[in-house]
Amino acid sequence: MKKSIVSILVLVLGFILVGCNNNETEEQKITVYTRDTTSGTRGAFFDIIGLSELGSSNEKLVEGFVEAPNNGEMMASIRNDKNGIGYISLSGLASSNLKGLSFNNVEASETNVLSGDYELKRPFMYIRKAEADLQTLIEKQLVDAFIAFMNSKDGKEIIANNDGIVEGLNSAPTWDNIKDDHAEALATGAAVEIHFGGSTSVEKIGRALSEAFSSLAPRFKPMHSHSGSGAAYSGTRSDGNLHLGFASRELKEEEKVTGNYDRVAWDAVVIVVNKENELTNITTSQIKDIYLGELKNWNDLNS
Amino acid sequence: MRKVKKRQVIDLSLKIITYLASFISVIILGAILIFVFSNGSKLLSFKILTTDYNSKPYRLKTTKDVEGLSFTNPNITDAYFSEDFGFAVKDDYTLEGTETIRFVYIDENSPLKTSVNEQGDNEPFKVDFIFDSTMRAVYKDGSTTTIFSKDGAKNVVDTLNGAIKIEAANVKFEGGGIRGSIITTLYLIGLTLLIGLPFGVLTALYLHEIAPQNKITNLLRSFIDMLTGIPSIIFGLMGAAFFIPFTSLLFNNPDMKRGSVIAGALTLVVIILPVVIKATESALSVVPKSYKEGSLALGATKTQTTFKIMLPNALPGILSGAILSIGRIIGESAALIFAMGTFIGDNITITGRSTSLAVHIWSVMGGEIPNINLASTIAIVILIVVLILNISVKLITNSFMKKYK
Amino acid sequence: MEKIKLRNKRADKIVKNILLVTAVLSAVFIVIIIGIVAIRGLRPFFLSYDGATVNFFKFITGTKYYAPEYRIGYIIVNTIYVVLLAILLSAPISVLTALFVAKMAPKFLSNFLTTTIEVLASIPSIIFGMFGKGYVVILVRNFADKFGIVTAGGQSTIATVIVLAMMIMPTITMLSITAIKSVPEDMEHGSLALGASSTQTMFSISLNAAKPGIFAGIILGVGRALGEATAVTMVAGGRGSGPTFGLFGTTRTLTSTILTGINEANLGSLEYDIRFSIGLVLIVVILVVNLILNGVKKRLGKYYEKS
Repeated sequence: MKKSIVSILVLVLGFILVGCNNNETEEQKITVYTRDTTSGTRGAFFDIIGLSELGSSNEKLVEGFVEAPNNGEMMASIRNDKNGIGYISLSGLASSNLKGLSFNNVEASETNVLSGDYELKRPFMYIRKAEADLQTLIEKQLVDAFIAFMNSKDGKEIIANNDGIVEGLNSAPTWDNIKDDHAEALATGAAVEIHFGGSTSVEKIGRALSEAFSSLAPRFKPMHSHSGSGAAYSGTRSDGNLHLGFASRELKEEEKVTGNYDRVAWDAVVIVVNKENELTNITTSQIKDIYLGELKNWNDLNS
Repeated sequence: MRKVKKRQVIDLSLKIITYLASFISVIILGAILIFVFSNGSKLLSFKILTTDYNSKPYRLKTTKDVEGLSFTNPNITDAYFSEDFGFAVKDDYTLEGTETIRFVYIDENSPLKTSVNEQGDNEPFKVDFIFDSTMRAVYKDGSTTTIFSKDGAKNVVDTLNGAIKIEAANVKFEGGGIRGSIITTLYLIGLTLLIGLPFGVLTALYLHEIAPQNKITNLLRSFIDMLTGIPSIIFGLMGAAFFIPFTSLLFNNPDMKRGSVIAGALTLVVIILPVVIKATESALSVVPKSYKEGSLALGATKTQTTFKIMLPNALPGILSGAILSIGRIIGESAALIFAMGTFIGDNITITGRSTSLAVHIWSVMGGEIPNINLASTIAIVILIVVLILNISVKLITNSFMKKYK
Repeated sequence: MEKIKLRNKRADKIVKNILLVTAVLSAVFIVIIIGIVAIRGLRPFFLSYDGATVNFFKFITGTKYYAPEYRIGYIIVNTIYVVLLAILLSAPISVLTALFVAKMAPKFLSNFLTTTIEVLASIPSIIFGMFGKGYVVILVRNFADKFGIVTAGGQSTIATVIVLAMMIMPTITMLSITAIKSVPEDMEHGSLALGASSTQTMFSISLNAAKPGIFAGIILGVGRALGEATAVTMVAGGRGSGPTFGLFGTTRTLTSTILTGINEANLGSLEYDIRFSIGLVLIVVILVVNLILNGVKKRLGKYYEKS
């Protein structure tokens, strides 16, 4: 009995030591954070820097990468990791308590995004479930009204308030001007659940919009469940459970079904590091090398 | 002599190690209690137990123009006061820790007290309303300016300087209460016991009183015993794959496909079944045989004996079984996540979706920003209830033992 | 008289049958549970979801779990590793505590500790998870920072092990107390009479004789640890690949894999059904571990019967 206990202990100790050795204890090793493969932010990020294969597969990623399931977790992890580097939506930068790096010497700001100077620009899109796949008329009316609200001046202001970058704010009609077109959706009656999902980058904007809209349409009962841009398409198929899915990247060809998608706002991906990190700018080749594992230490970057 | 000394040293060191080891459990319990109470007591209040979780958003507009009105500043610290409209706001945080603007004072003659909502009903601004969206200031010449919450509280007051009314004010009454989850938990307890207690007690009566002691009965017993070894997440899978479709069909309601309170209750019934059966059986075995034999000797049928003599005497044991089940129901999380879903609801119905207190903790800890304070508050409620239940079981078992000594 | 007797007999029979039905129903549930998990869980291997079928062998072995590949080999290893470490951490502490309570401590201390342990045993697992995520994880992170070890915010194997150890300690302790208390006093008196000190007696005699009971407690603890879902999910970190042996790396267990991402999986999709497959594997793992451990326990018992 004693012998077997001792041998188990030795074996376990062995495993732990081997495992611990693999845990780099070097001060300067870069911890690479990424979103999971259903994330639109990830897709957009790798696409623009020229590593499209990494968008949907972890094959070539540097060893020891850490996956964050949403923007919030990514931010929390890098907040607690001096050696961390990752990417988040620009709309989340202000409240993230992280440092955003300029990309190829262009700062990530609203003007630079709209002018196109900041290259990591990507759209916030939505996909809606096809009319034919909806169960009831009231669902279609509510989704129509919601989309109209989203495109109205009031809607765009709310998007802007949540750090989305909107175009055509002043030329959009106010809600009061267009609400009569949706009188049926705005009538009182039994509550109708409308399911939203998709990108976590767009979640803040999506929730703000649906919250404001629910005070306009008494029957509107929004339910949000955001897990990544991938769900925007899969969730709005005929067997999916979303009425409207948000994506934080350009839609792929197969996802574009006529009349069922559009852009909500512009946004950008910002590469972020911990506030204690001295870095202020990063180039395309540097960030590529970091994610491919060819650049492993912070020291190597300051060349 | 050396041998004795060596022995004494070994003995002493062993004793010390043992003392230390024992106090680890006390330290752990202490740490957990301190953590839960320090984080949760900040939010604990009657208010949080009785408010809804989901915020109530409004879109309000004032009905009275403010020309000529002026209000006195109550001079609240850190707050900005609007002399034209008679309210004060300050930069603050929501219950979840995100930045927002909060209304801290509204004068009774303020036009904000006679505002209406989008449907035209009277809906006054209330203190504690939070503003994290947009509103429009309207001026005498008909022009408007949009006020964004992200520009801060001072900006709100400054922009409204000289305005005559407010429209399209997207404000909301903050939620974050756990009323819905408390009610859901009560519903669950009620439904589960309603279905599970009779089931379990009748089964125990059969096994203990009526069944012939043969291989089949032993087989039944071992099948029921196996239920105790199954992790609750597997029960959750079963609940999702069996009870959800079952209840959805039964109530003919496709909205129940993602879970419902009744599906959760049925799953819990299966979980507590072994608990009730065991408790009833041990209670029955403590009842002196003389009671049973006496009853039969006096001519009562087996049924009468079982139900009029054995059952009432086993009641304390059944009661402890019920209380243990309640404890289990309150603490159960994994199974309910699957069978009931994690959407926190405010209007609770049997066929609707909502969360129990334990699942509510899971929900708020799982979001982008885990809300430890709210989770700890709920934990305080759960711990207090579980503690009371455990003490009750102890008291009942003690008095039960005394009765038969 | 005859009529009453006949009516009573019939009533007896009806009641007997009703009770029989409820008993059978209760027993049938376990069959339903295993049946459903098995049927739903075996589907991914035989049916095709939009053209994708999962290869069973690849599923069981293999070191990556992110769509579209579902390989849980490394997760099985992680689960066993984490539980093993949790037992190694909690068993000595539990047994020593039990010895203290049963033999060494004065009465009031003994009662106090027993109550503490009973309270710990009744704390729901979600609260342990919350404590883990809000406190243990932060402790781990600060500890690792001091030594320059990188952690994903503190969520790690060691955090999982600590939380699991906390949860199963009361179980092992309570059963060990019962086991130690039931060691026949003659054995102890004999040892003392032969000149052994009381500490020596406690450790060499009482503890050894209580081994089968203590082991039973450990088996129960293992069962609970293998099946723990919510607490583990909150501290493990959800790692997508490779078995993790390092203490500060993120990990995941079978249960946490079933639980993660449940809201996004569409009903009837591969994402959803694969969880049943994992559940099936979990049941098998628990069964196998229980069989092995019970076999060991029997041999322990035999050893002591002989002497």
